[in-house]
Amino acid sequence: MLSIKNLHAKIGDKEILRGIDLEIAAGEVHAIMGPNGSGKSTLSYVLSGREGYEVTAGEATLNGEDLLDMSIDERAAAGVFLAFQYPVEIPGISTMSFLRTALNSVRRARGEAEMEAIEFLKFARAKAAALEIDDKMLQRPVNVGFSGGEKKRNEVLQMSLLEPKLMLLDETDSGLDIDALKVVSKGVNALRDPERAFLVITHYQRLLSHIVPDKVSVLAEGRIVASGGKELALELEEKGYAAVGLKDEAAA
Amino acid sequence: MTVSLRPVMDPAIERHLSVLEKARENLPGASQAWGGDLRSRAAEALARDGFPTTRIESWKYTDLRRVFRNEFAGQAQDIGALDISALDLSKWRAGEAGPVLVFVDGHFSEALSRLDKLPEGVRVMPLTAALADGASGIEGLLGSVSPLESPGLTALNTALMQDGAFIRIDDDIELAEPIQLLCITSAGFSGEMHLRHVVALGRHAKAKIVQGHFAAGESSGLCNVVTEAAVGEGASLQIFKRQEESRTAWHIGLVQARLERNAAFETFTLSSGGRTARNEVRVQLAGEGTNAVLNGLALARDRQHCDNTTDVEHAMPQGTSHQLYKSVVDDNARSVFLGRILVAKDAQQTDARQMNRNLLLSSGAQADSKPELIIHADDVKCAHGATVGDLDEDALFYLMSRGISADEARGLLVRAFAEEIIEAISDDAVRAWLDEGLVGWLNGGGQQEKAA
Repeated sequence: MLSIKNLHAKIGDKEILRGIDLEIAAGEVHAIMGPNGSGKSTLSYVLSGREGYEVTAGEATLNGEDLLDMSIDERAAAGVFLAFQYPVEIPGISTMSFLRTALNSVRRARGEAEMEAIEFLKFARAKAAALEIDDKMLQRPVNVGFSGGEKKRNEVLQMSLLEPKLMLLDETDSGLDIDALKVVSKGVNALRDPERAFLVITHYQRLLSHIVPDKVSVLAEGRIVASGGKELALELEEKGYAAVGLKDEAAA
Repeated sequence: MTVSLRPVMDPAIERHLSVLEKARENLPGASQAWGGDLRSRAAEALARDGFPTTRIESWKYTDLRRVFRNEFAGQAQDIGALDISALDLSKWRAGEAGPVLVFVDGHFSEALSRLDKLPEGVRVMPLTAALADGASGIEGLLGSVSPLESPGLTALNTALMQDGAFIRIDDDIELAEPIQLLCITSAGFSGEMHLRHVVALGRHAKAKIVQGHFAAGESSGLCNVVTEAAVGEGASLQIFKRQEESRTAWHIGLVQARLERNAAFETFTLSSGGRTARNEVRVQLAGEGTNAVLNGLALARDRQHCDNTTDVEHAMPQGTSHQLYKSVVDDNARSVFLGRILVAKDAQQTDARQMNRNLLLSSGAQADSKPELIIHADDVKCAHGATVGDLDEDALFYLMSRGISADEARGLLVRAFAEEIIEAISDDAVRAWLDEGLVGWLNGGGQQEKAA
């Protein structure tokens, strides 16, 4: 589904990604781990089209379509969804109206009919209830005054509404206590589907015991230096990045 | 640097004085001795003081020479060629309720207005009628809040005022529906209009005024409007202004209020029209325990210049004044905010706050912001602040990453920025009326007027 070949990207003069090769098949959950500054978040931003990153070589395709050639919103319509590590607060726009605008934008782009307000309300409320998001939260401005857990649940709600094909989860576990982590993981797991792929970026094994990956890769200095099954994450947890021949982050 | 000492305004002043001499007998109020006398004194003040120049602090960023460089075609003698039956006022009205006074090119139109069914204790009439009627009570009120010495174009307005509204609300009368004053400019109008609205609220009276300035097509004239309001003890007045004149027209407006003990006053100015638009609000907190709220939103694009200037004078103790002015500036347009707060020696326990936020949408856009606080009392709370910024890139990325197009995402963020102050307005019809102005602008409003 997602195919990345020899991807190089830089910010300004600084090269962050130095030749990434990665294939994620439909239905697969692929975890990317790695020390701080290894390029994990950059990879998610480059795939979702954030400005400020220059791709200098390589390619990234989603079901054969060239992602790098698309604008940010076109990628979203094509099925890319980035769950932010730090969801952005937007005063003045209610969550409900934001969600509806987003849903109808991707529906239009996908050639589907837009959803009327009443129909949408029912649809969104049902999805929100599954994530323990109440109506009051939906009336509030996007992410403004939300707790860490509420912000991440809101991300998963958007994911479940927009029905993307490729989910990029950027440190989704950061800022979550164990209860919030369980709710969020449950929401993510409910979206697992033979037609969807997940790229889960995380520092810690903790998230991966809730969202169990099929594959784990380790990113260091802009390259994938090791790959394996879910047991690789456990090994890293136990032995640190020294297990894959890197200098231990804690000791660095 | 050399400063020209020659009074640059002279030709324009002379032109206006000669207009006054010729038109004198036809101007409203000529039958009343006091009216004629007032115009003469206004002409004297004008000849003596001239127009304000940019050397005057409150006119620092708006140069009236740019306005009076145009030799306007004078005042319209009547409503003229405009087919008023074809005018669709519904898009300019703030709801269907309440009295409506319509002025076309500065002249009151009885046919378009609605003044029936006024409750007892409420007088609403055109200025022309009030000036002609010796018993209307306007004599002691006209110029009482905005005297000839008021800055700006007040003297010119007083000398040449041709119409406007006279509104008097008796003690204890509360009017729920807004009184609507709609000033329409016809397509092709290139003259001047000098409108004067005179408002007086008795003790514990309550009223809302909606003041709209709209264009029926592209025009290049000047609108000089002065709204003066005497707000009695414990009374409450709200004035909502929407200025949407042609982008080739000129607008100089003053809203001035004097608040007696425990009175409350609120204004909102939404200004998006005019080549140059000046919206000045001056409030004197003349009694103890008064409360003033001054809010405004300037929307400017192309080469527009939009100036919002406020002057709040805390003369007595325990007054509060809160100001929030925002601007959204695109292309090569410019917004100006000048906010002066004066706290007199006796005005202890004053709470005065002022905030100005500006959003610049292009590299050629400009916002000037200048607070001026003069505080003579020692037990006061005064705060002011100003921000200038562009759209939040993180928020744009967030919205677009959810499939929303760049244009729509920008529109949403601009609307979110601007909406904050409109949302706070409690009257549904008025809020919707202001919202229409904002949405119209966001959708490119004013650009299609050439086709109209």
